[in-house]
Amino acid sequence: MRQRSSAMGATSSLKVWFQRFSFVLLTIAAFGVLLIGKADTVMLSRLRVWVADSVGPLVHAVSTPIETARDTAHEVQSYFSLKQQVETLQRENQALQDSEQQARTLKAENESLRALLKMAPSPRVAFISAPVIADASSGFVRGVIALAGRQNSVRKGQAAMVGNGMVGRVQDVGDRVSRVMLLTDINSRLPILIERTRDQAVLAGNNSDTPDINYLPRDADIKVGDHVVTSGVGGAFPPGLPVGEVADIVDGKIYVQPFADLGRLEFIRMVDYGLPGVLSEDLGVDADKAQNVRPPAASMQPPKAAKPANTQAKLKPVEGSTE
Amino acid sequence: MIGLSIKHQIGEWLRLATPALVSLLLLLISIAPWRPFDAPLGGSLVGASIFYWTIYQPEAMTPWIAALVGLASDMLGLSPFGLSMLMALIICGSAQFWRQQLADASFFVVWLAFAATSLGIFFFSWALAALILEQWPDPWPIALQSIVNVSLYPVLTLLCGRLQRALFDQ
Repeated sequence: MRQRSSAMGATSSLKVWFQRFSFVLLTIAAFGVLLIGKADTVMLSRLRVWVADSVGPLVHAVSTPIETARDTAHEVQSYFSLKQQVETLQRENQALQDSEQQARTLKAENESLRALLKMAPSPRVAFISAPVIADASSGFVRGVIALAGRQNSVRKGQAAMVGNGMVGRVQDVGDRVSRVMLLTDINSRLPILIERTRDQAVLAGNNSDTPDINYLPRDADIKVGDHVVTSGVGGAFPPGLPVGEVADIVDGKIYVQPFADLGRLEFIRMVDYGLPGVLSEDLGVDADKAQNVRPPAASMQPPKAAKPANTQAKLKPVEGSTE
Repeated sequence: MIGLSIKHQIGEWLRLATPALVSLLLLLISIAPWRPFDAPLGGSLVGASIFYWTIYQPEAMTPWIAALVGLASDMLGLSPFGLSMLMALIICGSAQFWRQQLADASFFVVWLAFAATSLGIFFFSWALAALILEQWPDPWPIALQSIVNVSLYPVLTLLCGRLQRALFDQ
C-alpha cells in the first residue's frame, strides 16, 4: 500500500515537474530540431516530402474553395474589361500569326540545314503539367507544392516552367506531389546569360521577388530591361530558357524580375530535358539512382509516363522537341 | 450511462482539440496558392492563433500543442526546420507570461501586445535564419509577413472569439 502511494506520489511529482519545465524542455528540443535539420538534410528532405505526400489531398481540398473564390473574383473582374481584352487578344493573335509563319519558315530552313550537316536530332523533352496546390513560401523560403509526383514521372532536378519563363526546379519528389524550389528562394542558384551582352553569371535567390545576379564580369555593360536566359552551364538545364529581365541596378547590384509571376502560380510544367547535370552531385540523391531514373542521353527517349487517374487526369506528359 | 459518459468524454476532447485544429486549418489556408497581399502568408496566421488561444484558453493551447503546430509548419517546409517550432514556443511563452494582464485587458491592448511579440519574433527569427542559412536573408519579406500577421489579428480574434463563446463559455 505504502509502495503504491509512493509510486503515485513520484508520478504526480514527475508530472508537475514535466509541466513546470515543459517550456524549457521544448525550447531545448526545438534547438535540437534546428541542429538536426541543419545536419541531416537527406533525412529532412525525405521527411518533408513524406509529409507533403500524406497531406497533399487535404491541402488540395482546403485550397480548392479558395481557388474557386479567386477564379470567380477574377472572372467578375475580367467581365468588366471584356472590350479591352478582345482588342488586346486580336493584336496578340495577329502578332502570333506572324510569328507562326516565321517559325514555320525557320523550321523548314533548320531541317534542311540539319539534313545537310547530318546533325544528330535535338533531345526530346517530356512535359508534365500539374496544378499548384500549395504556396509553401514564407519570409524564409520560396517554394510551391504541385500535384504531380513520381507516379507522373516527375523527377528531382527537372526544370519547372510556366508559359512565359522559368519558375524554378523540382527539389523533392513524393509519390503524388512534388516540391518546387522557386528562383527567388535563398538557396536557389541558376547559371544564366545576359542575352544582349552574352555575359555569363549566376542568378541567386534572396527570398525577395527580385533575385540578384552574382559573379558577373566587372566590365559587363548591363542595362535595365536586358533579357536573362539560362546559360546551360552545369548541365542542369539547356541554354536559352527565358528567366526574366533586369529590373533594377542599385549600388552595383543587379536585380532581375522573373518573367513568370511567381506569386500567383496556378499550373506549372515540369520539363525533363534528359540532362543529368548537378543532380548526381546533389544532396539527398544517390548518384547511381539519379542516373537510373534519367533516360540515357544517347537514346534521347522521354521518360515513360504513368497513367493519370482521377484528380490527376490532366497531368498528361507531352512529348516535344527542343528544336 | 456508459455510452453517455463516453460521448461526453469525446465531446470534451474535441472541444479541447479545437484550438489546435483551428491553428492547423489556418496553416493549410495560409499555404493555399492565392496571395491576397504581396507577401506570402506562409503560416503566419498560426502565430496569431497560438497567441489568442494561449491567452483565452490556456488549457487547450499548452506549449506542447504550440510546439506541435509549429513543427507541422516546419514539416510543410515553410521555414528552416525547427524555426517555426521555436517561434511558436516563443509566442506561446510570451502570451503565457502576460496572460494575467491580457486576459481581462481591452482588445487594443492585446493587439498591441501581439504586435510587440511579432516585432520581437521578426528580429529573432531574422537573426536565427541568418545563422542557419549562413547569409543575411532580405528582412523585408519577413517584416511584411509580420505586418500582414498583425493586421489580420482583429479578423482572427473575431472568428476565434465566436468559436470560443460557442464552445467554452457554457
